[in-house]
Amino acid sequence: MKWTTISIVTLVMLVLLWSTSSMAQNPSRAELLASSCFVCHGQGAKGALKIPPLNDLKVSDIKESMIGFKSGEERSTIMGIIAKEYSREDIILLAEYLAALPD
Amino acid sequence: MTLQRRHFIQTLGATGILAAIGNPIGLSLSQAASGARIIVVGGGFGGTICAKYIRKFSPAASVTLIEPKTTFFSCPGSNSVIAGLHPIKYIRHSYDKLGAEYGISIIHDMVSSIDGSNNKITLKSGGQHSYDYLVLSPGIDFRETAIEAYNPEDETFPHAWKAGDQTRLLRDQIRSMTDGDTVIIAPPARPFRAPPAPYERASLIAHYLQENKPRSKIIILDGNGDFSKQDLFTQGWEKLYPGMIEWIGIKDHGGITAVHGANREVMTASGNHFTGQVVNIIPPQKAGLIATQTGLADDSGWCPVKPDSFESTVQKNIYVIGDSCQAGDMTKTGHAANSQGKVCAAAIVAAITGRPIMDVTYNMSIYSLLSPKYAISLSENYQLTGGRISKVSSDSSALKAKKKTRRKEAQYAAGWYKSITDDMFK
Ligand SMILES: Cc1cc2nc3c(=O)[nH]c(=O)nc-3n(C[C@H](O)[C@H](O)[C@H](O)COP(=O)(O)OP(=O)(O)OC[C@H]3O[C@@H](n4cnc5c(N)ncnc54)[C@H](O)[C@@H]3O)c2cc1C
Ligand code: HEC
Repeated sequence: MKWTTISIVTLVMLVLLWSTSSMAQNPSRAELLASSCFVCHGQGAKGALKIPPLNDLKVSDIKESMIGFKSGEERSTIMGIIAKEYSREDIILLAEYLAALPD
Repeated sequence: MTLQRRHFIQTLGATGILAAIGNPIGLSLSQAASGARIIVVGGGFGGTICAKYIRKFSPAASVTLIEPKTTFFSCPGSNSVIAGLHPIKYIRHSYDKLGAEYGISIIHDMVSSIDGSNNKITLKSGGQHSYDYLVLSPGIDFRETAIEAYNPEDETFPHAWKAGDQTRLLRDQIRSMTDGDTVIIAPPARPFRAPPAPYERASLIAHYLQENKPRSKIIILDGNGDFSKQDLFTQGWEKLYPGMIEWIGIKDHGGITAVHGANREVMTASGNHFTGQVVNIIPPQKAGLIATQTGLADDSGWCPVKPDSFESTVQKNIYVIGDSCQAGDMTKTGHAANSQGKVCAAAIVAAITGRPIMDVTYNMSIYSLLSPKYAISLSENYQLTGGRISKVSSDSSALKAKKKTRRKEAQYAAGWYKSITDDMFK
């Protein structure tokens, strides 16, 4: 009796442990990455004075701009260096998160 | 069976078990975090951000922010105030929204001691509070200097390296100069808070003098042999204020040895005497007093931390961010403190919910105004490599950039200031 309950508990625990590993982490990677853009682009990326908003752009616009800044093809004062270390995956996460922010 | 389960629960702890059993009864992980008590000490560039983002990432966490001042005066922007470009209210910010909209309990008091082994802090007013996680972002304090007869509290030689009354003091001294008078600015040896800021200050004071006291001069008695964005500053000074700013590196004066208050005189190891009607000595710095007093700093005067979470390497469950911490290659700026605040917030939420810490790239960008319409920037990226935060790339404004670009950067600098202070207070 004792051994069966222990093994059932263990089994349940293992299943549940496995299921949590697929649960979303708080904050999501996208949320944490995007929070670093707010320092210049404003709360909710709504823009600040002459720094442009990002929340009104399309996913593809943000993605293209970031890739362009990174390669130097899109001219900039500061985004060239800011975009430099982001991987393609992170750029996609950022673009999807920022474009979905409310206007 | 009940026994075994209870034992299991005890071993894992309440939040651990919730993380382990997932979400069978509709409890969210952030609700699991509601038990966690987080105290943040210092409502400046690091502290406000860490407090606010813990609440954003984990809405049920209980967060208390302790800060003695009821309104915050930011150092960024203060050089513009000193030069009369903005009224002091430009750099003044209220804590009201942080409390009302983000549900942070704000206590306006000073933390006078920390008992790290019993997870308790004591306030200056006498009250005690317990924490599960403690975040310190107390900024800087001044080191003893070898300068004879100098004391940072002496209003004859304002530092204006903490904003507020000191900002007003330096501004008023500049205002009461007569044409032809000299200003001395003396930055300490690095590392210090905001390495480009002494040179931004010299530029903006020069802008004021050019318009109001055009025969006046500025002498920079530097504690270093070179300085941040030196080529860009020097180029700008030649263009904007020819002949007005004289920079003297440490090799050429040997360091300040003594001051003489009565005639605002500065003596150097080279045997020279410099007299200025305004003498702005920026004292050498170390971690905020509460951090050093708690034993969190090492011989360097700054606090070593784990590079992925900012948890102190000396004391478990105490995190140190902002100017006070030793964050590898990261430059001590408000923007760096902001990035650290967010990564630390995410790391604390990860610790509460039993999740791994995320590995991200940090950025620190700092704008410096040379005039209201002329700015330059420096931007650095950092990543965790070999167990430390390393600078992996950096760039500054182009030396060849056109006037139009400098003007654009001045507008972006104003946008940055609005955004970073909204991030802290709105
Ligand atoms: C002239 C000047 C210009 C600057 N310009 C820029 C710029 O353009 N861009 C930029 O990014 N950075 C700039 N900086 C740097 C920036 O101000 C600092 O890097 C930043 O403030 C560091 O943040 P912090 O949270 O570590 O400290 P702070 O912002 O100083 O906050 C510390 C807070 O802790 C509180 N505190 C201290 N001890 C206790 C205690 N025991 N109990 C409770 N509260 C306590 C203090 O009252 C204070 O409010 C500038 C600095 C100067 C001096
Ligand atoms: C230091 C301030 C700063 C930070 C931090 C910053 N940006 Fe920017 N961003 C700017 C400026 C300034 C511009 C205008 C282009 C230029 O001169 O660099 C800009 C432009 C952009 C544009 C082009 C917008 C348009 O309408 O064409 C995109 C996209 C963008 N940024 C994305 C981001 C993302 C994503 C982040 C966060 C990872 C970020 N930025 C962080 C300052 C910043």
